[in-house]
Amino acid sequence: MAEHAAHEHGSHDHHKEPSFLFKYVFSTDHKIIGLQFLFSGLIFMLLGGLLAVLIRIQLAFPDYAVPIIGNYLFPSNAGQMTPQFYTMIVSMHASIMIFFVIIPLLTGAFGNYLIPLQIGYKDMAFPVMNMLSYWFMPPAFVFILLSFFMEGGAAAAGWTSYPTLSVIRSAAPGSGYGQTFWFLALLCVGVSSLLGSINYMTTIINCRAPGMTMFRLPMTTWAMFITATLQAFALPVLTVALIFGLLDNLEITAFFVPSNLEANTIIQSYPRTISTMFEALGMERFAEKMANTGRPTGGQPLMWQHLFWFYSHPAVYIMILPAMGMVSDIISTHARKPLFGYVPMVLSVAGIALLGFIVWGHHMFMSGMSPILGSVFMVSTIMIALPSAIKTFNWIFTVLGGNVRFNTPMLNALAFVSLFIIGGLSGIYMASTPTDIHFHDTYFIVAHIHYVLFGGSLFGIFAGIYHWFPKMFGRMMNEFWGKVHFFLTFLLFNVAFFGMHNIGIMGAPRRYADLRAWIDAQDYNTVMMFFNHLISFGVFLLFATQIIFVINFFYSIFFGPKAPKNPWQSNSLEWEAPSPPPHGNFETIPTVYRGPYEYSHPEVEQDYLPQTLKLDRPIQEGHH
Amino acid sequence: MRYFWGFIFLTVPIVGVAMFVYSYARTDGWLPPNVASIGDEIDFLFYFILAITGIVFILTELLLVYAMMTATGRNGGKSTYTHGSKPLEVTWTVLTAAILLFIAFYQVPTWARAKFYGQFKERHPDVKPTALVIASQFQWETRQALWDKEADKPGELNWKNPNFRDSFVMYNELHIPAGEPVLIYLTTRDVIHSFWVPSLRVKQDALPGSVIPVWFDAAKLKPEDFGPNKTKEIEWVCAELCGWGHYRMRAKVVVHATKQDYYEWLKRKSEEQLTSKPNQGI
Repeated sequence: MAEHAAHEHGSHDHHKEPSFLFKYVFSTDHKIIGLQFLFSGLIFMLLGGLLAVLIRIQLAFPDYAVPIIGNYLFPSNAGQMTPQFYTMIVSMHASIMIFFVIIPLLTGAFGNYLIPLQIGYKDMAFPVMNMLSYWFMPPAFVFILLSFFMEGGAAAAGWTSYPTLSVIRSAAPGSGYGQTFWFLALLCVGVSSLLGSINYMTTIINCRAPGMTMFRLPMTTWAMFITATLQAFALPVLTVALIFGLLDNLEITAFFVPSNLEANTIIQSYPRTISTMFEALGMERFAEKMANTGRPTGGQPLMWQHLFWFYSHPAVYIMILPAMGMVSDIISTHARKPLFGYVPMVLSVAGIALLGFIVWGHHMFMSGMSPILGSVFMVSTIMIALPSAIKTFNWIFTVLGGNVRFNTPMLNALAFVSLFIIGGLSGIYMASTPTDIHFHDTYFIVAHIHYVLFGGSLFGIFAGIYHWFPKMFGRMMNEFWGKVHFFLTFLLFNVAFFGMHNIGIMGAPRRYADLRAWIDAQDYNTVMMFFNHLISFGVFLLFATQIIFVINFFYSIFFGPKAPKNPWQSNSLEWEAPSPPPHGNFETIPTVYRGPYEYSHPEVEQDYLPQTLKLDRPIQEGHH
Repeated sequence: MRYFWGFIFLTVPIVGVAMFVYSYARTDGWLPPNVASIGDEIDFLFYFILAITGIVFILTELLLVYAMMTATGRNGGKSTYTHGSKPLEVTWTVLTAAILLFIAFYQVPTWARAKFYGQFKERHPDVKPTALVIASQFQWETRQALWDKEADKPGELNWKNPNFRDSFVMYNELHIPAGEPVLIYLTTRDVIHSFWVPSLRVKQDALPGSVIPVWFDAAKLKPEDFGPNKTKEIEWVCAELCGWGHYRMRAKVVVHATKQDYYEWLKRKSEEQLTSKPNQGI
């Protein structure tokens, strides 16, 4: 199958240059598809960032009119943000950042761009399916953007969309068609990811260049491979949950809606229930029996949480593992030192992925799930810190004794390590069931997720963009402005998010539209207000800082200095292709002689040793 | 350059520790004041985890900074050529695994005490539910049984089908006696809410279609904590996004200084209920 597709694609190369439409829009070239994911992801990052700024405006200044847009959006509220709008933007900030920015950027953009280049192949195994995996995204974009203009606005039930809030249309302003479009958008994103992941697995298993054994793959490709496996196994469950949710939201079924919502107090059945179905079928006695047990007889709201987290917890690893892989490559390259413990690194990525499937319950310690099950999930969740710790130690020991080049990709990768330590350690507080009684749904978890997804994934994405930009666009990014951007982002990130730990420990609940009212009622409100303002100003400045990145990015695409083939003197195969690589990537399929991390070999003159370089005498190499 | 960037990375542990110390010092112990007997264990576990993660945090961040500052290619402009060290890797794997397993299993008994209903029933077989707490958008409704005059004790809560003849309703207020284990039944009318009383160290989601037993106590309140009415009000909030008014679902738990005070209050309240017109009940 793979070879067939590859053959077809190969013969395609000899045809004349495709027209603009098929070269850049409906392209089957993995590099163009990767860039499509990159650009749409960056555009949505801007939107998600704007929503974050709005959130922090409301939290810091709930009594003031929102600047500029307030009078247009909230004319009846004197320009002040309404709580309805706040719950909507909180839900959409997270939904957009997770499903439209981080996952598409990491797996869609970098996965597509780098996998064929790093394994030494001309394209993905299934180029047309690859094109389709991108073209399932635009419908999702349309759905999610349209949902803002529905009556009641976009989905406002949190990014987790817990029923029954999300499926009873009157429960929240956004639970009408806004929520319906949310379900549809996520379904499309899911199909896109699923097509991508099948393609990645097939390509990595079947299409590696001669000599490229599995244990000669760079960590980026390893991480993409394991991430794709995770996606392929977890996404069907999300798809099922989304279809259930969609049908419930359209008032067709009651998968997540219990029959007797006014549980045991006042008898008033919800119209669509299994017991009413029984009644319709003449099975009143059975219906009555079920209704009298005091247990739900219709759907189960907890089932959504199980199905959703069965995907969405692995999704957290989908959002961090590719970044871990990229950071491993970048640190090794710019430290000019072999990756410390390559095989343990691969095994710990696999370990995180495997354990990732049995930890979803830690989102549900307080949900009414059996507490006995909770203690099992606690143990598995805390154990997932083990592979993460191994990876962290390995990164630090890769830097130790290296010859570090402090350029922008390296700094962003090091920031990933530094901030991932915080994000990883703060997870233990929530993984521990007793302390989770306090920390569940406070700002502490908000701090945790931002340290993992911003401090981790997003710094990984920045590192990846700075590192592979010369390959993608054939030009170098401006190093000085890159460093300014990094410096400000790194400091402001900590200003913006570290304080969330503190107010979380003090008990500030998350997703409160008027946090100030809560703070005012507390004993130590001045300290909390200080942190609350600090966080907001940190976020405003952090957002403004990204302008530097945007300008540097676009300026460099057109006017940056021309990049050589291998600007970082890196070993892996993508640097053997021209910058940017043409359709088909390599002039001839390269042959691989060693692993990707042979830096600073004592028997070689230069401090790097490309995977394709054939030496005339054998030398003692690492683990291969 | 490496010192400059090393210093920038050094700000992470320094600022992090400084912020933690600052907020600890300024708020008299950081976590919301604890008045529950389970709270001591939970707070201890928090500081226990804080100590372990704090040490690991500082050491790893410092090691990273040290690695950055000394990464100068000392072997003739080249890095140390190594692919890893088996003894070192085995050591840190086994050590980390041991610490993590200890953290995990060490906490199970506290969790069991806090949340296993069977254990609670074993310890307090006689405790009856004092209130049915029904969450809805955006308020807490509490139903408590009327005072049983004949038996001269609180009546039994008819939680399956309560009505104005056997119970009374209050909104955003839950009255409990201090020092006693209290059991409530928690449910919701519409969407998921979460019953959270930070000072009692209790949090439990209210699930549509289910009635969940929740128990807690305010055993650690001292006599001087109570106001002139011999009551102490504790903040009670919703912790699960339940719609646009989520932030408004704030209520109070009113703790009465002694069981006697609580009974007096219950008698007074029952009297009010029985003398008012029935159609005002529900």
